[in-house]
Parts: sequence; structure tokens; C-alpha cells
Amino acid sequence: MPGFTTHYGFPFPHMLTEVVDATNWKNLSEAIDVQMTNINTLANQVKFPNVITAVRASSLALTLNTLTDVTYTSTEFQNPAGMWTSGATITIPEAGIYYLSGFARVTSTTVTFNKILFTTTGTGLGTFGPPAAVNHSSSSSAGDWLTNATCLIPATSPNWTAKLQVLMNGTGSPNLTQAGLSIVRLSLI
Amino acid sequence: MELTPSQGLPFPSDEDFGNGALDLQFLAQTVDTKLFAKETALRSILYPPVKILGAAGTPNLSNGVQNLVTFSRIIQNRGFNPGTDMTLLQSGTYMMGVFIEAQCVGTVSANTVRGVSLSINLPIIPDPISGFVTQTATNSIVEPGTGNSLLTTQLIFDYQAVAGISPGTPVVNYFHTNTGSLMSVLNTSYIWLIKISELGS
Repeated sequence: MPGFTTHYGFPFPHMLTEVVDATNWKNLSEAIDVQMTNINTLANQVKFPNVITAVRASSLALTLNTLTDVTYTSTEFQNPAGMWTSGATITIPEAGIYYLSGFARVTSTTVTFNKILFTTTGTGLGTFGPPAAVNHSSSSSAGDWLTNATCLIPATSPNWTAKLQVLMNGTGSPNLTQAGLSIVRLSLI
Repeated sequence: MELTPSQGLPFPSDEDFGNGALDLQFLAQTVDTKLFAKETALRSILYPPVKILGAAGTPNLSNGVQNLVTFSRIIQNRGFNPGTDMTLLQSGTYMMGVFIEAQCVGTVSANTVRGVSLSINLPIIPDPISGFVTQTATNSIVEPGTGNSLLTTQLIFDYQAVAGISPGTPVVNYFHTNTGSLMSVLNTSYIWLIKISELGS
């Protein structure tokens, strides 16, 4: 009658009634192999969390008083998990607690305030809050505006989406010159 | 019985009385224990303590003063006491932040300041009896109009657990200088606290 270890049930022969043979070694090795593979998977989840950095380096004309999606091209990414394919929307395939940071740089003649938003959609996020969003803004002046924002998102279901939006309020012809959105998973859920 | 130098896995020595089954059992149990410890450590990183509380919603906050915002709705709670208690139970490095969505009540004059502050009292280590320091993060904006106001701020701190000593309750204050209008903090606002690493070894 073989015995089994406490946590993973690794099999071993009874020390009085069984003689060790090749099958005993094979069974133990295979059982250890399975658990080592599982633990390697966990280690890779720790080492390689879902992460993306989307940076826009080319200009984008903004319409005053209108939220504008920041779009990207395939040459402007750190996108190891393929969470972006086109346009402005990033799709995160795994539930978890994520940290978002973004920035936008805008040139304009005169503005009264500016704003950047993280807009998210997904199952569970509706009960968490509105499109989770943050902003900074400033008083009236012309020039080169650099705005940044951060946010924490608890996504209880996979395949949620996020995008960065920019709003300029005032007069003139604002032009987005640089922008970026970074997302990293801090925790599974 | 001898042990491997790094992981301490057992194997029979030349002098051991031969019992292959017992040797295999020792090896199986040791590997089992070692792997379980590794899995536990990895899971503690993948599933760190986290607490997210939603605001109850606070209507008609006055202008020109710091308005205390309270959070009573539990959105996430792992590795903390039940309820709204945000006492840290593990040492480590934590990140904490607050998101405030507020709504104007009435017409607002242009260029109105709105701000949020987040602070927490951290005991002085290693002598928490002597007092605490208050860490604070703030963010403010200038925005006109009657739409919703969205603000975040955050801070990161180290906390070394000391038995019976709590870092205190986070405090969130909201401030605005509207003329002719009050502000309401909506229940979509939230505060969050998450462990992001162990303390350095």
C-alpha cells in the first residue's frame, strides 16, 4: 500500500511491504514533474504580469471641448502580450487589479482647462464605478501642456478594455504632440 | 542520510542500511515540502493584501474648507480585517490612492479650484510609542463648468509591522472654492490600498 505526501500527494512505496522498482521512481518523478510545471506557471505569472506601454509620438489634432481617443500605431508599443491590435482600445485578457498611468502633451493657443481620462469597460467594472477616469487641468494660458494621471482598476472579469482620452477646453486649435498609456497588473483577483 | 547542498534533498549515504522505499519516501516528502513553500511564496506575490472601499456619497460639501470623505462600501478585501478597517496586518511596501468623482450643485464661476488630499499616520519605527509621522499626497485642479470633477492622488510608503500598533486610518479630504455652488462627492469615488512588495532583505 503506497503512501502519499501531504500537499501534492506524491506517491512513495511502503517501506515494509514494497520493494522499490522502476515504476515507483517513474510515478514519483511524473508527479513531481506535474507540480513543478504548475509552479513554473505561477513563477511566470509573477515575473511576466500583463503589461503594455502604448506611446503616441506623432501629432493628433484635437477638437475643442470634445473627448478625443488617443490612437497608436504598431511602432509605438511595448506590447508583449498583444493586448493592442489597432486604434485606441487596449484589451486586457486577464482579470486582476491593474495600475494605469497616462500622460498627454498638447500645444494650444489658449485653453481654460485640459483633461485626460482612462475609459474602461468590462464585466464587473460597472459595479465598481463609472468609466474609471482621472484628470488634471490648469488655468487659462497658451503654450505646451503636459498632463498626467494614474488610476487603479479592479477588473473582476477578463477581456476588459481601456483607452486614453484627451479633452481641451478653450479657444484656438489644440494639437496633441505626445501621449502614452501604461498598464500593469499588480495582483490577480 | 545525506543532503544536497542547495535545497537539502535527502539521499542515502554509503553507510546507510539499504531501504529504498524509505529513502524514496524521504525524498518525496522533502520535495513536497520544498515545492509547497515555493508555491506559497509565489501566491503571496500574485495575491497580495488589497483593500478597495467605495464612498458612501457625500452631498453638498461647503466651499473654502476641507471636507472629510468617508468610505463604507467594500469593493475588494483580501489580507485585511473585515469591514472598512484598513489596518495593515503585514509589513511591506504599500501603494495607496484615492479617486474622487464630484459633481457641482448649481452654476459655477470659471476657473474654480478643486482638490483632494490623502494622508495616513505611520508610527515611528522602531519606537512607535514616541509618535507618528503623517504622510500626505495632494492633487488639485482648476476647472470651470457644471460637469463632473475627477481627481486622483496617491502615495507609496513602507510599513514595518509592530504588534499592537496600527498605522492609523487613511484620511481623505475634499476641497473646493466654487462660487455660487456646492459640490457633492459621488459614490463612484473610492480609496485603495495594495501591497506591492516585501521590505528589502
